[in-house]
Amino acid sequence: VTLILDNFNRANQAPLAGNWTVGTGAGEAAFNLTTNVIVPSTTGSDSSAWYSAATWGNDQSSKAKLTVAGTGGNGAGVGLLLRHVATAATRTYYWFVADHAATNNCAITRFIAGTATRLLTFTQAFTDGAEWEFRAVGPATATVLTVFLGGVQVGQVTDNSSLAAGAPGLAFSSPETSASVDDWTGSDELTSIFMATMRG
Amino acid sequence: VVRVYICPVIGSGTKADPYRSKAQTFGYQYASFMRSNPDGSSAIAWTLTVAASQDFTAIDADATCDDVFAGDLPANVNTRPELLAFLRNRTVGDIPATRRSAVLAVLDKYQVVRSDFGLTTPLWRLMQRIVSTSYGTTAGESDGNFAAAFL
Repeated sequence: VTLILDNFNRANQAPLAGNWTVGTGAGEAAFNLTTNVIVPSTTGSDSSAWYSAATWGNDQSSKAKLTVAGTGGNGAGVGLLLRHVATAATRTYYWFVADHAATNNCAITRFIAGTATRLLTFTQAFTDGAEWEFRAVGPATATVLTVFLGGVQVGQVTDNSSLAAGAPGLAFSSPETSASVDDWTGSDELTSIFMATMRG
Repeated sequence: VVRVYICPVIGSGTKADPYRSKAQTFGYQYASFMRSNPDGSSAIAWTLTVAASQDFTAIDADATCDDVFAGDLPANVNTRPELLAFLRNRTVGDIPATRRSAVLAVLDKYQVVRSDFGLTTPLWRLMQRIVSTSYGTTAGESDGNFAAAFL
């Protein structure tokens, strides 16, 4: 069982380092740790980072407080990653992002070697600094992806792909005016939740 | 209001133009079942899409998108639990004959096997079978799996 909490309250890092690895895939720029929060090094590129100093089960959760200035929607925003493969240059992961667009401001996208597939788009207003959680449960052929805002389920979809394993982390999808992530929690203790869902 | 469509998969797989349901073109909230190949490309040309909107005029006017239940979903089905309850409690035989023919025609168009279906088959089973057909696996036939499968 892995449970990691990171409040990012430490010296600045550019790029984010230590227990984290930043993505270097096509279209990706680094995340930085600046004044005790995580920010994209440039808001004109995407960013990803995963917690690489732990072993993660396939059923996993990524949770953090998200702040973003931007109303573009359509898959832009700040967010969370799941099942990020341990290769920095390969954009392979599940990605949830949100911004403040009036409609369709939240999206789940699957990336496999940079190939993107939009699985879910929904509208959910939120206050900056609100706590979002993104969960993946189940085998690659039937992975249930669920989004929570403040502990309340706000979106869910099932996927069938080759994306079975990896690590949880952070995401930024350009373009936005600014964005930050704080107080992150990663966990792979989801078995009991999954079984409750199956029985429900 | 929630409705269920089968839509073409559009897009080129880039971040700016991801593979997605054509339902997004109309600005709806939606969840779609998108089976991929190992390289991430779309493994199927169509996708079961659960869309939420107050106005489905645009998608209904698009001949490439098929309303699975042929307008048989009432306007008071607004959430996943409501859709779940409705489809579980309504059978193929409950649908008026003309609209039933339209539903079955959609299944046939997408080569969804329905030889084991009858008038007492719940509509929920139709949706499961469409997913399992698009997934190329019987995984979608599991009631427990599918209950957690859409927005």
